[in-house]
This record gives sequence, C-alpha cells and structure tokens, in this order.
Amino acid sequence: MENILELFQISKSFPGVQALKDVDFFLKKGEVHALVGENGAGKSTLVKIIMGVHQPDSGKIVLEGKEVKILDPNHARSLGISAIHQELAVFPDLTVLENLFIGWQPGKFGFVDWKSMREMAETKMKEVGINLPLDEEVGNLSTAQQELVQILRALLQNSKIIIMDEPTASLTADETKILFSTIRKLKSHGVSVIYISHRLEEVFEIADNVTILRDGVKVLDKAVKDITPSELIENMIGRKLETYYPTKKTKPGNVMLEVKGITFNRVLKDVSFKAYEGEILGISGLLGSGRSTLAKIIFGILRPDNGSIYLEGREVKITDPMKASMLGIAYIPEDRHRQGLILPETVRFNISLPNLPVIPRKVLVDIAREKELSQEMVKRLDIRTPSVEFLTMNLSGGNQQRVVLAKWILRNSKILIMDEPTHGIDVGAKNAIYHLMVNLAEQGRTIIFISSELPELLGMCDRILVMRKGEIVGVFNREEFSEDKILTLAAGFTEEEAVGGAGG
Amino acid sequence: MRTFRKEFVLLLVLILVFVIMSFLSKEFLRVSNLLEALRYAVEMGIMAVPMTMVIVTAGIDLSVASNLALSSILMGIIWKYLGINIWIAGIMASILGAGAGALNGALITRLKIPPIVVTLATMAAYRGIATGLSRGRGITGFPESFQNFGQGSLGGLVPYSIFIWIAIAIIGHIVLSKSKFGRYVFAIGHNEVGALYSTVPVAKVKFILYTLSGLMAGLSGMIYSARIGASKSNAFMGGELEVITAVVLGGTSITGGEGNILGSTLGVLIITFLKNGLNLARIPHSIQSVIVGIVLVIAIVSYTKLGARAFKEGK
Amino acid sequence: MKLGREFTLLLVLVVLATFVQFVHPGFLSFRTIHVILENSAVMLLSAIGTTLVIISGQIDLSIGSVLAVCAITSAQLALHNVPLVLLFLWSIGLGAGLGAINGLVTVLFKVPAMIVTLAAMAIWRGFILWWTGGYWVTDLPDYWKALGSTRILNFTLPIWIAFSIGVLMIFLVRKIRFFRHVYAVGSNRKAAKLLGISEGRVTFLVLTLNGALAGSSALLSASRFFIIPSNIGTGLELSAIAAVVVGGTNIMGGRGKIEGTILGVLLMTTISSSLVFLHIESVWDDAFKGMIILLAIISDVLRARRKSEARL
Repeated sequence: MENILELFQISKSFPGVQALKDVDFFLKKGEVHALVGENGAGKSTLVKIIMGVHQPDSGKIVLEGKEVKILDPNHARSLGISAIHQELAVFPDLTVLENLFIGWQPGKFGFVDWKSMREMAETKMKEVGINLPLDEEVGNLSTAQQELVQILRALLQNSKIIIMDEPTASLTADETKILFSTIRKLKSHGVSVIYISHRLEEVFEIADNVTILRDGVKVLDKAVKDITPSELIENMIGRKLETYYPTKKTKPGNVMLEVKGITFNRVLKDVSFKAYEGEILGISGLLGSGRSTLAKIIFGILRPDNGSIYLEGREVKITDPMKASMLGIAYIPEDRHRQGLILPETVRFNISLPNLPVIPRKVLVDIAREKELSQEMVKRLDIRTPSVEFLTMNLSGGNQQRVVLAKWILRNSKILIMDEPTHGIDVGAKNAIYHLMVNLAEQGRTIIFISSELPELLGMCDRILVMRKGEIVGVFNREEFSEDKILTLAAGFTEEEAVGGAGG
Repeated sequence: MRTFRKEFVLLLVLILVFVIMSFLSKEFLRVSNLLEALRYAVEMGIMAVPMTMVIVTAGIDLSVASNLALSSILMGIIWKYLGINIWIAGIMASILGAGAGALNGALITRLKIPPIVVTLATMAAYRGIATGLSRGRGITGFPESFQNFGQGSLGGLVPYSIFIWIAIAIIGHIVLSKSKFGRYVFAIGHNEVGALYSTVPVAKVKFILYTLSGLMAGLSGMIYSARIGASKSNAFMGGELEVITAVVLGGTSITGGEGNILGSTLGVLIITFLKNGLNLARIPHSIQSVIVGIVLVIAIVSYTKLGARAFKEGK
Repeated sequence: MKLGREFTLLLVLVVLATFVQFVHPGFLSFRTIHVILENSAVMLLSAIGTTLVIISGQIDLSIGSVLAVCAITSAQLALHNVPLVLLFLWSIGLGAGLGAINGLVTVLFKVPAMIVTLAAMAIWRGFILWWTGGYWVTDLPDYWKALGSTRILNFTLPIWIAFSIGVLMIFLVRKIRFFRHVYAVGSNRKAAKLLGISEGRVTFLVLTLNGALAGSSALLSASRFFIIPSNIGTGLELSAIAAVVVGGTNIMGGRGKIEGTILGVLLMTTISSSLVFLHIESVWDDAFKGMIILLAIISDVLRARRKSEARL
C-alpha cells in the first residue's frame, strides 16, 4: 500500500513558540492513522497545515506522489482533504439534504437542483452504508448523526483524506460504535482517516498506525498492534509515568462531599460517590457519560431530578452558582473562553467577579482592595501578565487558566471541580497546573479532576471514578491503577461490565 | 482609558453643537433658553439611565415610550375617577409602570424570549391599552401645584424637574460604574454564560433592570403630564427610538458590554440642544429628524473605527 | 410537526372568521373579504422582504420611511403624467437604492443593521416630511388610481400582484441558491464562512431586496387613493415584524417560511377587520395586536422548550 500523503521535515513556529520541528508524517491509502500527543504537542498545528489553514515554514508536502502547496481550506477540499470539525460546521435549521450541499449546490443559473442533490445523496448513502434522514432538520439530530452529516458531505465531495479531531468528544458510547463502524466502511472504500484523540482506548480500537508527537517533534511512528499502552503513554510524556507528575505528600482525610442517587434527564442515572478532604479524585469516561453534567449539578448550574448532596455530613440544596460558591464549591469549566472567563475584561475584573460578595466593601466595590487581592493572586499563581489591568483575551492559554483558578483560590473554595483543566495548554504550563493541584490538595481541599487524558489521571489521582452512559461503572484506588482495566471500562466495547471495582 | 476618550469626543461634539447653534440664532445662548430646553429633555434623560444598563446587557427595551403613555393615562384615571390625590396617583402609576417593566423582565428571563421581541409586543400592547382606556381623548385639569412642578422653575430659571433627572443620573452612574451590581451588568453584556459560571445572578439582574426601566418610564409619564398639563395616549410617540439613539450616540454598544451614564446623558444633551437650536433657527422638525439621524450614523461609524483601531493597538 | 405552525394559523383564521360571522352575519361578505385581502396585499410584499431580512439574522427598521419616500415621489411624478410603468421602475429602483445604502453602511462599517436602519428611518422620514412641507399629494390623475381600482374577476390588481409574487416567492426561496445562503447565514454564521459563503454579500443583497419590495408595496398601497398623506407608511416596519413573527419566523434567524408570513399578514388584517365588526373601538387595535404577538411568541417558546435543555 503506498502513501497517499507524505509530510517531510515540516516546521512551523508562531511568535514565541516553536510548534513543529522537522516532523515527518506518512499516511497510507485506506489507513486509519492516529495522531497522539499531549496538549500543546503540535497535533493541531500539523493538522491545520494539512488542511491549508497554516503554511509550513519549511518542509514539503507530497499528495499522491506530487508535491503540493495547500493554500487554504477550499483548496484543500478540492484536493480531496476534508475535516470534521468539533465545532460542528452544520446548519441546525436546515435539512440534512441541504446541509450536505451548502456552498456547492449543483444547479445552473443560480437555481438549486434538488433532484440531483437527492439522487447523489441517496446513492452515496447506499454506497457507504450510512443512513441519514434527508428531510430532518439537522438541529434535531444527535451529535453523532451531525458528525455523520459532515462525513457524508466530505465523501460527496470525493474526499480521500478525512481528518477527525476529537470526533468522539460529544458522543455516547453507542454513538461512538456507529462512528467507528462508519470509519471501517470508509477504509474499505479506500478513504484514509487521520484520527486525533486523547482517548487512548480509541486509538487501540480503531487505528492501524499511530504517530506520537511531543513538544513539536515526532517521537514515534508505529503500528498499533506493535505498541503497548504503557509504551504509548511514556512516549507521549517523555518519561516514566511515576516521575512526571508531582507526588502529593498528604493522604486524604474525612468525607467532604457526598453525592447520593443523582438522576438527571436521561443523562445521569442514580450517581453516587464520596470525595474526601485532601483528595484528588479523578473522573474518567467519555463526555457523553455525563461527567460535565454531574459537575454542573454540583455547582448549581443544573438542578437534578432526584438525589441529594451532602457537604461535611449536612445536606445542602445547591440552587445556583452563587449558592454553590458560598458553600465553598468551585467549578473550573471545560470551555475556558465561553464559560471560564469574561475575555474582553481585565485580569482584575475576572478574578474579583465571583468574589464580589466577599471582598469587604460598603456598597461600592473597593477597587484598591480588589487590586491588592488580584495582584496577590497573580504573584501566587505566577500569572505572566504585565499588570492586573491587562485584558484576559490577550493572555496565553496557560495564563488564562491560571486566572480562572485564581478566582476560586481567592474564594478559598474547599471543593474544586476541574473539568479538563489542561486542555489546550502547552506542556510547561501543564506541569505548573499539576503542581498547583497537588498544593491545593495538600492544604486539605478536595479536587475533583475530570479528564480524558488517561496519563494525567493515572499520575495525579488518589482514586479514579469511571463513568459510562450516565453511571459510575468503576472506582479504582491508586494501588489498583492499571491502564488496561480503565481503558476497557471506559470504552466498554468488548466487555460489558466492569472488571473488578464497584458497579454504579 | 478608551472610554475616557469617547466622552471627550462627545463633549467636543456638544460644544460644536453649541457653537453652530449660537450662530444660527441669537436666542440660543440665552441662559433662560438653555434651561428651558433642558426641561424638555427630562423624560428622555431619565429613561436613558436604565436604558443604558439594559443595552449594556445586550438587551433592549422598546416599550418605554408606550409605558410612559400608559402610566400617564393610568395616573390621570386614578386621579380623576378614583379621586385620589394627584401626587399619590402619580406614584401609584409609576409603580404600575414598574409592573409593566417587570412583565417584560419575566418574559425575558423566565421564558427566555429575546428582549427585542418581547418589548416590541409590549410596546404595541401598552400603547394600545393606553389608547383604549383613554378613548383617544386626553385627561386634563390637574391641580395647580402639580402643573407648577412640571412647568415651573426654581428661582424662575431652573426647572424643578431637572433636579430629579440629575439625581437619577448620578445614582445611575454610581451604580453602573462603581457598584457590584454594575459589574454584573457589564459581565452579562460581555458574556452571559461566563457571567453565570462566575456566580453572577443573571436572571435576577436582568429582571431588575427591566423593572427599573418600567419604573423610570412611569415616573417620566408623571413628569410629562405635569409638564404638558394633560395625560394623552399618544404621549412621546417614537420616544423609544429617541432614547435609544441618545444612548447609542453616547457610546453604549448595542451588542453589549460597553457603555456609561455620562455618555448617554451627553447623548441626550446633544440631541436636545441640537433640536432646540434648530427650532430657534426655524428649521422644520422634519429636517431635525434628518440631522439627528445623520449624527447617529456618523457617531456609530466613528465608534466602530475607533474601536477597531484600539483593538489593533492591543489595548 | 412540519405543517404545525401554518396549520395553527389557518385554524385560528378560520375560527376567528367563523366566530365574527356568527356574531355579525355579513362579515364574510365579498366586500369585507375583499377589504381584508386588499389590506393584506398592501402589506404583503414588505412583510416578505422583512421575513428574508430576519431570516438572515438582521432587522430593518426603515421600510416605513422608504415606502413613504417612494410613494410620495412617485405620486409627484404622476402629477406630471409620467407613465405607470416608469413609475413602477422608479419606485422599485429608488427603494432598492435606499436599501442598498443601508446594506453598504451595515457591511462596510460592520454596524448592526438595526442601528443603521434606525438612523435611516429618521433620515428618510424627516426628508420626505420636509420635501412635502407636510402637505399631502392631491389631485392625482385618473390613471394613478387605475392600478388600484382595475379589477380582474372582481379582485383589484394589487391583490393579484401581491399574492402572485407571494406565491412565486414561496417557490423561489426554495430553488434559488442565494436564498439558501440567506438561511445558511442566519442559521450558523461561522459555518457559513467556513464553507465559503460571504455574509457581507448576503446582508447587502437582502437589505437591497427589502428596499425594492418596500418600493413596490409603496405603489400598491398608494394607488388605492387619490390623495397621499405625508405620513404614509408610519409604523409599517413594526406591523411587518409582527406579521412575520406571528407567521412563525424565528427572530434569531435561520428559519422561517413565506407561507407563514402570508398567513400572518392575513391573520393580522383579519383581526383588524374583526375588531371593527365586533364594534370594538379602533382605539383597542394596537392593544390586541400586541397581545397576539405575545401569544404567538410564548407558544413558540413553549414548543421549542420541549426540544432542548441546557445549552449552557
């Protein structure tokens, strides 16, 4: 099988950071090739170069034996390269049929030829074995189906290479199964897939080959059947698991938070667990498993249909985030830009916003005190900013995350729920955040650590909860940690129920 | 620092208006004229205060003028047919105005209907009810003390009603720019979701704002009737757009997150003196509209250019 | 569910008409129905333009003023016996031009159309008031009213014109690529950009089209009378938005049907006529309209609520 796409010695830098250095990447026809690496390793940049969003500083790209320069996404598409966006590039108010052809509808003189469109779509669907309701509004479809719409669109445009960046992020386990069977069908039709994911279990499930990037450099490129999970993880982080993450010097104490029988909509089913003082409790599982929803319930954004929450033994009713924060609960959200910060405002504004009820003042905001406190936080968390009057939108990802943390540390929160805290942050900053987490736990606070990156969970947590389909399917203590067990549980592909550990 | 620049520009525009108007008519710069002109600006000025905050949250209240009319009519009815003291009737009507605003607020926060749609509907409904209740006729004959309040002046020079406006504007300014509540307003305007995750009580804040907007509309209705000497259902027709124009002129961004009371007040003043000067120069009302419209366009275009440049400079 | 909204509107329309007929036999006479259709025809084209603007995610507050400028200047041209066909071209062209100005300012300066058209509304209204000196245009030649009084099968020309265009639009909106882009831009701006659709071009064209439709509405409306009041068209934009919203178009953009707008317009005009027949004083007109709009929106929201939960 020859290579359909070859990247030789690709380098790319941005102001202040060398994103990629002399990276080689080879993709065969009909292959599913996984691209893995920590946040900040360069995966996104590499893929954006293939998509034509960025131009490489040096190196060459060879497509089907011919050297090419990929000028922009439209050009990439005409060359047969498409991408499935996580930020779904679909039109919720329009039908599936229309979504498939927006921007390139067949038809003469500005008229749209619906008949051809329908024929083309039906033919292709039969060919690939994907079934979508053509006349349904895309907004009514599940996320998985919306992704299938994008895939079908790519196929209709005769894409030979489809890039999937975290495609399962919003999918349930069942939907992921559908996606994977679709990917296998694509393979049999000679379409190649570049698959980026944090979920290592998926890499082992669906990919033929894997390329590992670290700090902008390619470290390994091997067939999936020839590599073990530990080898994969160690190559991703560059050293043995045990030495990369800071060790916590204290052990967990009394029960701080107890959650009993939480049910919500159809997302959570009878979830119960305990979290202890000074503990770092990990929650693993696909996003559709309900982790973020659980967090939002504990933080008061959503209200459960059933169940109760206890803080230090007393039952509490958490009606809104204000109440949650008064009770000492903090939530560091997954979507840093939309949920975590008010970007067009200053560092000082952001840090003080949830703290306004407690910054001592009469009626008006005590700006001097506010400045003082935020400057203290900047120092303590080592936030790289010229001043507290700097706009958060101009900070780097890592520093933005530190501002988000600063809000809650100032609030002296006892329970911090961190949802994918290292997402989109470069490697150096990540380590700082790990140290911070350990520090906070050593002070006796409870950290609930939600993450898709198995290595960090294994390295940082005292215990790990595994969630699937809205239930807790396993709880592991540190001694029991084993990548294979956790992978199997979370994915739930081959095994139906937990291997050891408590059931939900 | 950027906001400081905008007010400066507005002040210059105001001065420019003064200069031009004084050329157009000798009467303009008379102190008595200027102060009387302010009398006509009181209602717009008062309603511009909560409107500024509403627009900062990326919302809008199109019902203010209709609310004013309805409150005015209700006050008239309460006084005339229920025999209640005019001042108390006025306060009652203001509270009813607040209620009307609260209805807006409830529909917006509980049912999550976009403000423009809700207030468009209530704009029609409130004006309609006012027309219906009054049967198209006005209510007149208010007691002298009441009319004196609306038409008289302190020391024969400074209209009494201006003091109310000044007080409300000052309180509004302090609240918006220096209080915790004001911070919440800005946060919501920039990013409602982010504000919620930072514990801002979004629904409560919005509800309060629309209720306040209604309250100020009701109060303005009272002042309007005192000034005119009558309650009419066609009071302040088109007034909502005037208020919004003043607020946008004053630098408040229609997409939310930016704005201040000082700017809005300057906007009200600019429009008021512009019209006053043009009146004195016998320029017809129609042309006045045109000029106000053109000023608005120039203002927004300049703000966008200013904003874009500031953005590029990485402020 | 697809047919839901239009069916509901039709149902309400039928029920209302039946009710009024019952209370006041004579309501469903040819004369009344014709009045309703005529009033609808006058508003219809503007409402269609407004529908498209709202679907694209914007709002145009200037159509009333644009209509006034077009109607009055056309009438004045008629005083000089300019032929009807040229009057049409003038009115539509002028409307398109004014709409294009709105479009240019909106796109070039990246200002929300709502504010631009707010200013335009004041400017054109003021201009036409000054231009006419407040006087109404009178003594129009006979051929002027010909447009408004010629009957085919006993229905006046404006009714035929407006409803034919309306029906034609129902089909065109489905078949012409540009209109599909309007929906796309309103549904998901970012995605549209990703797929190469120019939002600026769509916005400009949609505002221009809206102006042109206001221009055509101007002639249809004004040709019914021999005198044109100088404040013609006041409040049109809000009536149009009301009819559009009642008709089921989502104010946030991306969805809406011409069929719904047509029914919305019919419903609003029927309500106005019903109020007259029920001897409810016209002073209550606006109150009713406002409440109908509220009801329509509330029912929309409650229906949509069932679909989604926290998009937080």
